[in-house]
Amino acid sequence: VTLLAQRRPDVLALSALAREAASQPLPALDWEGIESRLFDRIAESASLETDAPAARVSRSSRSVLAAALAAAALALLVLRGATPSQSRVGPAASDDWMTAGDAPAELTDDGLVKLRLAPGSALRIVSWRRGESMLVALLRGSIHAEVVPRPGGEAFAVEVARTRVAVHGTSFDVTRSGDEAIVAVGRGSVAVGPAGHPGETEGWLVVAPERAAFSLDGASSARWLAPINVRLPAAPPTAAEPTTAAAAVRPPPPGAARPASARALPLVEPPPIAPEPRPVEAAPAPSEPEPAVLSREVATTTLVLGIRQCYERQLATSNVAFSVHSTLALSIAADGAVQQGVFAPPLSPTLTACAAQALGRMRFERSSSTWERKVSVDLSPPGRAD
Amino acid sequence: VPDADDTIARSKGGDQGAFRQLFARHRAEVARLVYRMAGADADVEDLVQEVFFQVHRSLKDFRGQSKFTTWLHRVTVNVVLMHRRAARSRPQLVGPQADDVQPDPRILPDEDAARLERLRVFARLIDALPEKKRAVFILHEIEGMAPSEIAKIVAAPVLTVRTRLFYARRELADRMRLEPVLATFADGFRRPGAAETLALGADPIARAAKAMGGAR
Repeated sequence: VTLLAQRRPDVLALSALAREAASQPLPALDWEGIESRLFDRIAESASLETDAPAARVSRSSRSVLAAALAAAALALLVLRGATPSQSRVGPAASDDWMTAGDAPAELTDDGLVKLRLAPGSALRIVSWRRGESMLVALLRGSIHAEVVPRPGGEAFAVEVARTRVAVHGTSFDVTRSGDEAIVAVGRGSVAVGPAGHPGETEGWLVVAPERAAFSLDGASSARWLAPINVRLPAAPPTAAEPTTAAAAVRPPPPGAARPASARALPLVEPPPIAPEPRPVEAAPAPSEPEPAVLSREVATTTLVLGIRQCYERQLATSNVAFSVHSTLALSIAADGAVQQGVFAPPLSPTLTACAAQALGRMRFERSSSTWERKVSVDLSPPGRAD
Repeated sequence: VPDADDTIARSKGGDQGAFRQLFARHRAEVARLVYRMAGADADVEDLVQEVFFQVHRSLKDFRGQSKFTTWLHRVTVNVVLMHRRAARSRPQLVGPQADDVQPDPRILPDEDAARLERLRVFARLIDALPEKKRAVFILHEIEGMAPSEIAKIVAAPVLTVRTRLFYARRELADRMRLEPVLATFADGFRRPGAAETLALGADPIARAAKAMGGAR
């Protein structure tokens, strides 16, 4: 104990508290379970690592590597030295694969997708119908895809081991990183789930500008990462640029609405209202299409995400960092429409008005009668940088 | 330690049995560090598994230029920080509130209850620190690591570590005054003779509590 510390009782108290904390026993852990899961994971990872070289060897007779190296020198690599629009008619040969050396490699199918493979990356084309659909398996590295929006279903998908990332029309990146697939969505949204279900990818929804990491076993687990652009844009997105709000939607229970239906809440500047707290009236949006019908869990999550979006907007425009700790009591009609929501304690008028916009743009599943639900809303600013 | 070096070398060579030995040898310290750093709500088992998975993947990059435990602590800290960063980026949705929450009927002895409450509030204050200061404070004050070792773990100069530690203490001390439970505890150290008692004693907590008037 130094003289300085003797003059600082608070430091002494801190030291004593730290010793108390250090003396706290560790909770009991299931060591066998941890070890078992760890070594299962290591074994699985090792088997995945061996998949890629096998594919590479199987195509070696086609001189893909030589073509890749030559194309890399030109900073543009296209399989077998020809652009797809020049050489591919009808179904593409499966099992073609593509690697990028020191320079990125690109592959374009007009009207469908433009791929950009990062240096050092490799993919295999699992199936390809020119101008219609493409499925690729990312063997290593990172791929960026610009997919032309198509109304007819999944046009393009990337599989990373047993995890499938499917899109209808968007701009996104997929990176294979160890035992995870990192998905970053720049525009639109993608569905991530198990491979082997073409056209019906169910699971997680990643909405621009989100970034998330998924396990390679069919995306049984996911963790959301900090988005590339943390702050929401000041101006609402235009109709031509359908960038949506941050939203993380968990897989729905069986029979529930697909997560893709959990559409994002629009960024609408709330109108000024009286400062006194009052119930939030669910305001319908007449110019909007019918609200999506969502399961209770998905609807609740979407609603809180909408409130979070309101919070982040206010945080971004405010010079003061503040937290929100409140409970929202919802009253939901039998037809699924939100009749009323009351925050206790009340939020600021701006946040309340913004939340009302979110409430008006969603609908729960139908039920036999009016029902209520309480939702805790706890929002805090991101940790400050040191 | 030759035996430890041999285990590491064999693990790097892909010997799964050796890696199991490494896991068994270091799992407790990793778990303790994860528990201290990750926060109360973290899944310690998952994070311990993640640490050793990362160790398995990265062991080939360990060149022995630092102690293995320092490198292991660095991996652990990075895994925890990544976990906390990811958790912060997600919505903190608690979900539907349970209306039928019952208080714990068990009765704790007064001093245990007071201590647990003190630690709960203290943990909350530590959790509110910026990540870099938080990590340094935990590694030094709770884990007992020297600034020079922390510097290697967090990849920062020793002076930076000391600076972070200084500001972490100052922030905690300031916030402690705003928490009645901790303010009362700290007041015990302001009484005449408390510091001297602490300086002479082998058990600062007991002696400090004695100086507070026998609360403990």
